[in-house]
Amino acid sequence: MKTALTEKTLPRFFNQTKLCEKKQKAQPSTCKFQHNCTFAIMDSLPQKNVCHEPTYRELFYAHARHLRNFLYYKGANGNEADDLAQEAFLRLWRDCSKVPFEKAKSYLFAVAGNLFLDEKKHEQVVLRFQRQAVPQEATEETPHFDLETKELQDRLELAIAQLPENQRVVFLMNRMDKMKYAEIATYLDLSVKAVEKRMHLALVELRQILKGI
Amino acid sequence: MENNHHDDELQHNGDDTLLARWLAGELSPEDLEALRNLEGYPDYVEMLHALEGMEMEEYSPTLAWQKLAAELAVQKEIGSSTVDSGLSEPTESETTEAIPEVSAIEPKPEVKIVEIAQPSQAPTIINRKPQIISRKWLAIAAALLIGVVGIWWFSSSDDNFRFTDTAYQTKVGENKEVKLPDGSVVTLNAMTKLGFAAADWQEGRKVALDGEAFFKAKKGKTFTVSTEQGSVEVVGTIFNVYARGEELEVKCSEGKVQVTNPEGTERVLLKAGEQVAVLRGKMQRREGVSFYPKWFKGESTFRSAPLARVFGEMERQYGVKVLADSLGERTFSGKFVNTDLKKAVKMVCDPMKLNCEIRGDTIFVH
Repeated sequence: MKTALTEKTLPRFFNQTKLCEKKQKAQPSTCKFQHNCTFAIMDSLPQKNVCHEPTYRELFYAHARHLRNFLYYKGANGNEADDLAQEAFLRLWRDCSKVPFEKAKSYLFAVAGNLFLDEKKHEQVVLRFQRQAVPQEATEETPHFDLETKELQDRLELAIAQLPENQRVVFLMNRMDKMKYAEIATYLDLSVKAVEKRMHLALVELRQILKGI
Repeated sequence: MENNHHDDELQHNGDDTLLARWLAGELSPEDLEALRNLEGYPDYVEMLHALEGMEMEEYSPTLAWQKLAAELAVQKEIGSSTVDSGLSEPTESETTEAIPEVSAIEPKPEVKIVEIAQPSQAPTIINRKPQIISRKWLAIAAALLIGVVGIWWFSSSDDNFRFTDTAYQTKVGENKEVKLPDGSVVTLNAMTKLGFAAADWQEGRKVALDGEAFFKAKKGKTFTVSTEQGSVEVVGTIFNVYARGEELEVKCSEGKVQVTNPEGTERVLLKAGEQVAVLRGKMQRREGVSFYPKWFKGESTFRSAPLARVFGEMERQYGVKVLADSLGERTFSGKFVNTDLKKAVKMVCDPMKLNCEIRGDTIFVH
């Protein structure tokens, strides 16, 4: 809650933006599919103003839940995740004149990620998920739990917490928030390929960890 | 070029995105073949199946937005040096209107806020920080936070209602019918509170209940009734839930209903005509349920119910206070009418051989 967002505190965010703009100017075509250029391409679209209150609110309703969950997946507990997400939005408001609409969501995630780093001292990650009946067949009318599934879910909870952070975040954004890889890529400022790799690795790792639990 | 070369190499050593693309449904027939030959393929299937049943805890963007707006309002107050007159006068009527009563909190409180949030006059200050919201709105936001959120948080401080953004509450002797976003209908008995997250309804049908209600759940995704005493899950059926004090009682009129104790250690599947009582986490199954609960028709019925519960219901139906010396562990089977207090008292006290005395709004039981 102390660091202001400037080019100093978030060099990656600003540098990449600049880098993109340069590349875009020099060779627009080569830039298109390189992930760190997404900003530049989007810049050419008509822009909404983040300082405009309805736009800001729209951003909040569109991303608040994902942002909060993202922090939770990183390892913040429920309340911390709520607070950090709120802080990220407060900063977005403060910097609204500097952040183009299209960059708002990656800005939010970058700020939230940094805030999390400031706050957390790499404590043990604890994750809890709600349990729902898993229908055995699509047509089955009654909710059905079987004991094995329940047990596996308990072990999965522990195993997911042991995943490397970057794999865990991508994995849960896809599995829990039902986000597509391309969507995750824009939130986290990664290439789709990188997201896919993390996803694949997460599953491989999970299986290994589960064996030991 | 280098990138491609690198990818090719990995392709030889094993596809490093295969599982990811499988989940996204992007595999070619050859890929699928590779997947089936992959070591641990059945494990992955099982893992993913188990994951299907795991979800993030509920999140109410509406509440979070209210908190954020309040925080912005506070920061704004600190940041601004001038005092704007005429800040509150034009908004007072709106403010009072927007604060719902405790007894019947309006559905979708955020809609109201949204309407008010559109500033009627464009802000004229240019030099300072951006105007998120006109001053008028800030005043209302502050007022609402004391009003709406205050009432909200105090009345539903229990965790069970934490995810909800919409709530209905009935008064003494009142029944109320509530339509849920998916068309399911819930009838609330007296002194009952029902809440749900209208904003997140699409993500899962879930309501919180404190009291007694009769549900007609439309067919569809799992419908969950969360109570402090345990949870009830159905797909689409008709059932009654009584959740007060330490007791949870579920009666299934049609279809099937699954009831789980709060620890999730015990669950029971009810078929039509069956009921289950969960008392302090212990489950007891019984049979014999009429299609419509009797309270629906102006009667309160009991079967081996502790007297404390019987008189509790009487208090809720008639708005009276029952003072008893000691009710002990005695139980009551029978009914009382919800329309005539004298008759009702007689219907309970006579068979139980209790000496009951009505004095105004108080009933003395000896």
